[in-house]
Amino acid sequence: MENSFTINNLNLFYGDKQALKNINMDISRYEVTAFIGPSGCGKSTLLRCLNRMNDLIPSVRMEGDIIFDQENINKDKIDVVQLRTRVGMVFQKPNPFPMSIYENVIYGLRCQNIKDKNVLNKVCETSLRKAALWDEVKDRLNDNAYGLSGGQQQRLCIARAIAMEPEVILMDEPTSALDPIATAKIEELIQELKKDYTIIIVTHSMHQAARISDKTAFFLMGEVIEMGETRNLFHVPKDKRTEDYITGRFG
Amino acid sequence: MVKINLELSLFKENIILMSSRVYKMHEDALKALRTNDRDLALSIIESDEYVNNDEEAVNRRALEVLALLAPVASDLRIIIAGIKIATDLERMGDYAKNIARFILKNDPVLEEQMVLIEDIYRVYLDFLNKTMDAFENADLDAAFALPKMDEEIDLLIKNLFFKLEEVELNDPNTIRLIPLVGMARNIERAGDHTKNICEQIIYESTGQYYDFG
Amino acid sequence: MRKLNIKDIILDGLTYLFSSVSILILITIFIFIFQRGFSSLNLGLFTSPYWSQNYYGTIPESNRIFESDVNFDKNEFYSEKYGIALKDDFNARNEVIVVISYIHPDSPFNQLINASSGINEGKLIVAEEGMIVNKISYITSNGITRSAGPVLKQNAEETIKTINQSIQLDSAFIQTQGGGIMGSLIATLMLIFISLAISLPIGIMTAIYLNEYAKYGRFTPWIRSSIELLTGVPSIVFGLMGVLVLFPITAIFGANGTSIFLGGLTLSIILLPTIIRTTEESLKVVPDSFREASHSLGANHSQTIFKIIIPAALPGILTATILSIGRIIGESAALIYTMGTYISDKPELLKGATSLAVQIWSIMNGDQPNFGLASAISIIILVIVLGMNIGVKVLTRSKVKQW
Repeated sequence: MENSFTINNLNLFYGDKQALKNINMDISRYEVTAFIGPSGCGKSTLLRCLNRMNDLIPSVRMEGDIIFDQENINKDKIDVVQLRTRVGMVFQKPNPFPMSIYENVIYGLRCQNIKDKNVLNKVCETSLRKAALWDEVKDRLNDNAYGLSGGQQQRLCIARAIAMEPEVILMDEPTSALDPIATAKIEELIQELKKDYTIIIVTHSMHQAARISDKTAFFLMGEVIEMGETRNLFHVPKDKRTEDYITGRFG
Repeated sequence: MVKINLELSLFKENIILMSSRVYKMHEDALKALRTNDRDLALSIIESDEYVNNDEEAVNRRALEVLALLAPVASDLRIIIAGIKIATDLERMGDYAKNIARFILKNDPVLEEQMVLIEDIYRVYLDFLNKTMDAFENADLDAAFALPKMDEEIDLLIKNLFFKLEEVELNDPNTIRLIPLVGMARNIERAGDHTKNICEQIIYESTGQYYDFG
Repeated sequence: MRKLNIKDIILDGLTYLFSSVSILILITIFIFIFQRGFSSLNLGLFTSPYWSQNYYGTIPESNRIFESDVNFDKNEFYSEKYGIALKDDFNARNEVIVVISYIHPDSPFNQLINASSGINEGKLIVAEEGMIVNKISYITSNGITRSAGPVLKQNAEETIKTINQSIQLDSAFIQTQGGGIMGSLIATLMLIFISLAISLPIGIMTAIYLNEYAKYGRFTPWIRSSIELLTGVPSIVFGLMGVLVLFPITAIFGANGTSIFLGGLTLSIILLPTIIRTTEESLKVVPDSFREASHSLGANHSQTIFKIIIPAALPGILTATILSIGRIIGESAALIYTMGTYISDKPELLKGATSLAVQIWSIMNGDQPNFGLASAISIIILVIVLGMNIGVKVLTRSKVKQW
């Protein structure tokens, strides 16, 4: 199975402080890859490199290659806006826009100047179905998105990202602000989604990583200490630091 | 994460206590064989009840730790290995009980055979003792080296059977030797289970299953 | 212990005393204005021009009686012969006047023909209730033309009596009361429109630039500080600047001196810092998570700003607008220089006029300061400005931020 991303010797600096050290990894397609590790160790930073969201932060400097679809997206010449339509993102705190549910889902399409009502309606329904939200909102698409519960809002954000038909969905701790039932629903959703999308998820909960991911990478202080099949990493981790982290001996 | 540390060390403690009990059963069995002590044999049979309870306690504790603390990696392997070791120990208790029954049902063992039995049993007791030490100390090297002792036991028992065959041919009292074979088999099987414990110790450390044949 | 007690009591007492004095002074001011102005307040203020209009018109013949079943007050005097009722009144300067209180629909007074030379000669004069009657010329039974009305120191009753004795009427001098604010109202509206039309787009765009595009730029803090400084400049300085610097611009368009256009331009510069600051504040409050979400969906910078951020910041922008309108209505010093002080009843863009506040200045600056009218206008201004401030408070509280 070919790789979704291949990262070679990636280094990232915030001014003088180095946040990512010599990252090398391959991410496989149609799988769930989890990034775990203590707070502030670089997992979110790396995730945001994959759709060049770090560009929005001043004083960020990167070296190294990130190969996506045979192209190095870490160069300046890349059309970042285009990239982001192929690599979508869901954030930690659900952040729907202050608009109707319908407008939220098709926002990305409108930015691409797609105006055909039929297309927009169809994409809206498909995306909401894929995000397991359609049945709950199909009668109130014009209601304000803030009327939804936290878990529903997060699924709306997922639908919004899916509407762009990306190849990859990046998720930055998508369930940390949700209650256990909403969390369970989204974990179930992720298992469904991985049939069609590559999913990379940053999570603070190793148990979540253990539950839903196929591969897991353990980060510590900006480095990837270990990466491998989840079932192996949680059974016999190769590095002692990984072992100490996942058994809860530190962090 | 103090809680899981505590739970795991208590868990291992229970297993070691259980193994002490089993060891004592076999030690007593040897003694009872030598002196034909029927009372001792009875107490060995009683002890088996306790051993069975011990195994239940180990299983229960394991389930609690699994359900509540969701251990992973080495912590999980400790639990898994522990459950299996308890099973092996429980079987070994059963074998001690069988030997005790043998004592109750049969006439005392003749001196010539007792010597042979004693050799075998001593090796076995040493094997069990060292294995439980290896478990307590998570001694991987020992776990790899010790199964040789089981080979030794098997060899000694084979030897014993040869000798018994010889005697059988030459002595009209051979009828009395048949039960000995059965009893020796118990020691052999106990040795096999002790070897299993070594395999579990290796699994606990490395996550790999070794089969020592 | 005792010493402290007395000290505390004295300090407390002084605090209460001084605050009471300030509040008392404020209340006194309010009461003063209300007292003087309340009586002058009437709806006519909003619709009538400031300057009185004089009319001299000939009265056509009439040969019938104009019966009326209108119930007249005891201070209204009705002439059935000519279908007109007059009553006594006071003008804005508290002088005695005679006003028309009722005109019968068929009365000849509804068909006055303008007799003054000029472009209006021969045209119909629309006589209305409320108009002042200065003089009515009538023809006696002897054929002599005589006058009646306040010009001969007659009051309403006497005037009616006199004309009832005549054979027919000849002509009448009537005038509108004036003292209205319609002109200034229109001028103020024009002012608001021009200054907002210029300053809102520029101010909002500047705020967007500072907060969204140049957020981390090297010069951005400098620009912001400069804008902050501008808010402290006294408006009269802006007025002078307007006259010196901005006047040539208006001259290009054909203005010859002070004009509403010049006033609008100057005012838009006064408003800019406030609009920029308020808009920036409301942009800052829009959470970054919106920007992140928008970018992550493949929107470029301007799409994010115009589709998400500005709509979300609209309450703040609205606040800025309302505050600006309040400022415009209250502004006087800068406008005196740039818009002039002549009260115009038909304001034109390129000619001078007065805003409501400047009208007050004009009224008080003339040889006969009219406290009543000035106070009435003050009340109107106060009501509008206070209303807007309350509106702002209500707006910012009701649009409870959902995020």
